[in-house]
Amino acid sequence: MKLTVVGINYRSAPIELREKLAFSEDSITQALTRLKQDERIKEAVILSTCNRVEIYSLTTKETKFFEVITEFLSSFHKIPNSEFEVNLYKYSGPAVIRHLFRVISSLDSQVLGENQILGQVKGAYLEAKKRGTASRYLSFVFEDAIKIGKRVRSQTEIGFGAVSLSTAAVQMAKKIFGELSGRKILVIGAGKIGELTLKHLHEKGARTIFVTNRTLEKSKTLAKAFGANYLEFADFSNSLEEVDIVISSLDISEYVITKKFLKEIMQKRRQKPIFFIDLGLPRNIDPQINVMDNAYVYNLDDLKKVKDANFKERFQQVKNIELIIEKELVKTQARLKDFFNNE
Amino acid sequence: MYSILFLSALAAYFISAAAFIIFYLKLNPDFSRYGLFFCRLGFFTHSCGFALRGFNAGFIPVTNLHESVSFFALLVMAVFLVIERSVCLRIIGAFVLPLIFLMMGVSSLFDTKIIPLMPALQSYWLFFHVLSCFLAYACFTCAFFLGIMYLLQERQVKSKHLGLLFERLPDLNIMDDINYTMVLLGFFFLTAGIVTGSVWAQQAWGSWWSCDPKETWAFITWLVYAMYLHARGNPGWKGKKTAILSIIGFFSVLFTYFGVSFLLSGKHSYL
Repeated sequence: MKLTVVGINYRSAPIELREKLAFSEDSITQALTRLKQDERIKEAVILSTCNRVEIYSLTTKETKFFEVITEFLSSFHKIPNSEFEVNLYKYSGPAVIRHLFRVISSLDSQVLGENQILGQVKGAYLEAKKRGTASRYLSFVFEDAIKIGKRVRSQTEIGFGAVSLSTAAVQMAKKIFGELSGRKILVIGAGKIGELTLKHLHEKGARTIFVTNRTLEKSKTLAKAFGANYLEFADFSNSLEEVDIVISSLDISEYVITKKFLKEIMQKRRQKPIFFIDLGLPRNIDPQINVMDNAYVYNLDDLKKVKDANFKERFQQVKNIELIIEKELVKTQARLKDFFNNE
Repeated sequence: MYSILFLSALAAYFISAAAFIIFYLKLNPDFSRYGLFFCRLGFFTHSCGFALRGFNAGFIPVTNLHESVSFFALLVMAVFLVIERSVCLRIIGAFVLPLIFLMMGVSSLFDTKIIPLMPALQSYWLFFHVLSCFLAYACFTCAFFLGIMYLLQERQVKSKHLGLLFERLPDLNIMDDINYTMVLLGFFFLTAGIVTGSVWAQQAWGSWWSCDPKETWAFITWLVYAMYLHARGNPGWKGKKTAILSIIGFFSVLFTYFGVSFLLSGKHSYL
């Protein structure tokens, strides 16, 4: 008996091809039934998501196992082998288990640490079990994989770390203020990253929002979208006494908030911390403000640094996960051997 | 029996400190659980040892260096456990537990024999006076660590070079809050300690205040923290400046506690 996997994913094939080879919920049932009828195939699980299509199978030893699955894909989807064969990846033996562990740990996903894949693998396995194509061997492997998927998430916090500028801004806000719910935000000017940042902060519970812009229309729409108060541009400085976070993305050639001006404000605020997210280019906020106690200024370059630091941290996380996977792989293999030798 | 309890507390604190440090480095929550388990275990055996010793001696055992350092560690532990319980900041353990272990180690170096209580100390004021002062020290110690942690984190956020510490340390706001709460509590206990000491001094020595070095330094410490509380209220200092004040205050505490005992002589010299 030989364990194999044949598949394509977002790295090996363009979306058009993946679409052609994908299985819908109904067709998975059909496909599994057909695989079951094939005598050469003992067990099979089909994993089909928007990023990947994979068939895990256990075939008899004599079978040309890769060809069987490739032919099956071709005949089921009615496309010639030649159209997709170069895009396939194929593993057999222990490499299959490693691959599955990597997939379920999200190491093979577009977004590291995403949780969806864990549910998708679980779903694929349960479906195969229901149709009777995953029996003892694959059950063993998949149940181990699901355990590892959960363990990796709880032990390594792979969801952690921001990957875009707007999430980096939110991450910094959380490190300064802790709880974000109920925090007051002032938005000066409207831009894409600013809007995204506002959206994330809003999701985290930040509530009172003031919006101001030199051109009325844009701000009014933005204010409406978040149920925010609208301020005239000339009046925005009054709100500085009470807001916690300022998002600024004006197209303006001089600083809208200077250090000298903020010094007075900080006294009135009784030194309550304030966080400026300066998305303007040229910069809107005097960078010297960052030197003052309890005032923090992050501009586009700074946010990019935060983002990159997260990537580095992620790299470390990936190494940790790979270590866990290699350790578990040895254990799973040993247990499989024990289990099937005692038959 | 006492030394068994003491040593097992020492061992538990050691394991706990190690677990918290691993937790700090690896961010693996399992280790914070082990750390917490062992520091609770250590706290329990430590308390039992303290109670047993008190029972054997017939008075509150805080009258020689071995006892007082161990009691100090016990109270810092208690304050840490309260903080952990109310705000769940286990990461502080990586800072506090090594200190606890160190204090216990230092404590074990001194003579552990029970010495009969000298007449001057035979008073029920002993308990209240020493307990208030040491609770104050314990709160100031935790405030000190939070102050250090605040400054480290503030540096990370300001400099925009996010290193190892950034993810591991809590957010600035909560550290500032707890730092403040600890100083407030510590100030309350220190005031109580000075007042009870003064009343006791009137009874035992015949004067409320005799400018003994311990008294003077306790007063200096009191002034530093009074300044902290005042600055926080009036010009509205927050964050970095108050964190620095809480660190300065702690050095004053250390001097009041150890410095005065070792370097200066006075009426408190039995400690």
